[in-house]
Amino acid sequence: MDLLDQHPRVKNSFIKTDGVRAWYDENGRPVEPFVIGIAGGSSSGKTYVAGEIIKRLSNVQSIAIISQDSFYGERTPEEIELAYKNMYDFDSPQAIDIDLFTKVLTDIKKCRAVQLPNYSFKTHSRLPNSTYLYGARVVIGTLISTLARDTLTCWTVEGILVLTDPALRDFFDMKVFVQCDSDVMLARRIKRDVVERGRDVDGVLSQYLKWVKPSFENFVLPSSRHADIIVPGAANSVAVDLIVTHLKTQLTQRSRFLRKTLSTVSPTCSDLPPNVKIIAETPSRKALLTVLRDMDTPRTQFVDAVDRLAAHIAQEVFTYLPHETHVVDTPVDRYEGVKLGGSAVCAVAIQRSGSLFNHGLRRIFPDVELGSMLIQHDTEGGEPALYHHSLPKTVKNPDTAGSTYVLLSDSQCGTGAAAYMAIRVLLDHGVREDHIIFLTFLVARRGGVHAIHKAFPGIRILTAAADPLLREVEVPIGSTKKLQYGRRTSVVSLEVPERKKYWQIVPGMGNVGDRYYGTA
Amino acid sequence: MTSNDLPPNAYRLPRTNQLEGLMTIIRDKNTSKGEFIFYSDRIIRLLIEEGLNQLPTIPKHITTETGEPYDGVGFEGKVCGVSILRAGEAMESALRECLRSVRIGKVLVQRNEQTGEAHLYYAKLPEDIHNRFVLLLDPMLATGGSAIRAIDVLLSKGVKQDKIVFLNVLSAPEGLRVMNEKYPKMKIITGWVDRQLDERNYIVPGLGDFGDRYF
Repeated sequence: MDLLDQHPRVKNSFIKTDGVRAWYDENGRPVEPFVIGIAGGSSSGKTYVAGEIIKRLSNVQSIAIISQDSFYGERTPEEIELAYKNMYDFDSPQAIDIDLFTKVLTDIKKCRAVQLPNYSFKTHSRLPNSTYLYGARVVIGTLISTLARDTLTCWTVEGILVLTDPALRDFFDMKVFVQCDSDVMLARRIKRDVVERGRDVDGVLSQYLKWVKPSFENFVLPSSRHADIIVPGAANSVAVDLIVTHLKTQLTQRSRFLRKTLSTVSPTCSDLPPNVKIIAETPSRKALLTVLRDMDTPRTQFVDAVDRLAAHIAQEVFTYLPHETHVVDTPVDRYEGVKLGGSAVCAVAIQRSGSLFNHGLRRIFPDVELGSMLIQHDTEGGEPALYHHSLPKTVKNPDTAGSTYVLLSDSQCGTGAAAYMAIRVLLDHGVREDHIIFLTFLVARRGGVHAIHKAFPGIRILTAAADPLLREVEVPIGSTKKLQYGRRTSVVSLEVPERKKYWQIVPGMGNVGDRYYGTA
Repeated sequence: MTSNDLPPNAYRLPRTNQLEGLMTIIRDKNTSKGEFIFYSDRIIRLLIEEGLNQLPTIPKHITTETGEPYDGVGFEGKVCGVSILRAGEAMESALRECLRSVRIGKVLVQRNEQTGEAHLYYAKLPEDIHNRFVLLLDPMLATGGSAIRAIDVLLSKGVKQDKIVFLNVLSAPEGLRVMNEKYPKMKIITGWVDRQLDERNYIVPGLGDFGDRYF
């Protein structure tokens, strides 16, 4: 690579190549992501190093790059004036909103969802919109050169100043300093500012001598002594390999395999935990459950029964939602009634089969915001992974998440591994445990409900029935699940070599999603 | 009449926050038509579900997808709906949502403005109605005049009293009393029992004219 080539800037970005595995332990507590801080002078190649690390981590599920220059603080009109004249010192530690940067890093370490500020180098002020970030297992922080950036479209913890602040240093699991020759850095800077940004050489040089160079010498360079590893700004593949090797070891240590653990919580206890409520079993509901359980039920009838039972369960949530007195005038007289209290209510379905509740929920809350999370189990260990989440605005907004009620749905709760993960996601966003109501058609008396209660005792679970058993079975992938069970055993060939293990509730209702969507 | 001394053949939906919240909305004279329709549909759905719940079940032994036996239940016998026009038609779609292919009969009863008596103008009912359970649909039970005409038609077609379930959203104690005196074996499921009828036979505090607000 030509020493003067600026690498294309991959700033503030979030890369996800696979579902995110459990980021919490068997008690439901989050396990910190791995956070790398990359510091170095302006144009030293920090973003390039971050990019090289990412390239070598192709199998890591989720990586975020956060740039410290998103965290430039609000400026006074006088400072903005100076900034337009290239007279403001963006390279001083005072230029960064260190409180916000610290708060965001603290939240990231606790696996919480964060809103990253966006800074405009055109207007020299923070933009009104922020960027939502959640679920990164590796966070690379960089602070690149800081002067007069034209656009800022992404997020990275890169940093000139990242390693200077003692409080900040503690956040990083690994501290990297990118060492580069000052002449090379200056040459790159001139090239960039003149060619890409149309500045004149005199201006660039005077800015460099006035701010950039002193800052580098006073703050940036001394911070290199805090670094765990010093990486050359070019021809650095050996150093990057070392970083990546260490990172992979760390990630392995931080991964958790919980499904078996969850399924065997309280294996002998068949009493339901106190947070599980089975809706009253009326003759009509028992008949609906019979339709759902019967393997010979035609699909149209099955779909109708699912929609009806979903509405039965969904309407029970009113028991848990706060109400207040409301006086109205009827066309005839005055009437003292009630209405729902002010808290926002939204719904989140665990896809695919949690969406079976959407129809019933919409009947009851016509304008409820419906979010979703795609959580799938891998075929070997059956461990769940979060592939996608699209959460209601009121959950993503940190100012409202704490007062929002969330109706979380899934068709059944066996080992509860998916629900457990979904609950963790909601808690990471600041939703209160006692504001989460989990709706499901059927639970197993063993396993999941106990694990959920143990880790998150405040969650309420509403269901139509509880079955006695949870058992692990193995079926071939791609063949019908009726292979070994029921009356249709004999017709399926056994040629498919790959097999999949999963837990089923017994007697249960089979794969409700397949039966509802007709994909069996 | 308080909720504690309902006639023995009448059943009131449990007074939950949900139901009370819904009732508050549809009673409010400032509620828009769209909201009135949506929220009264919700109450009607609760009534229909409760009505279906009153039908007798028989044991049903099935096999689940996991190959295990399960002792469930199924409904015995056939059902039909009969709506008292015009307001009763508002209750048909909820019944249809629960039982997709249900048969529905219709009865038109109107009051003679001079005599104040309810008069039967029209009745179109399934041929085999005498073999069916009947869910009789009328959102408001005030004096019970129209319901009496409709029920008499059903009885004349051979429907047994104890196979009729009369569903209404709101009722007056006077109407419930009349129904119990005349048809003690018929079941009535009502969403709410109001205070009384006023001198014009309006239910108080009521919700006004259901049909006018719904259609």
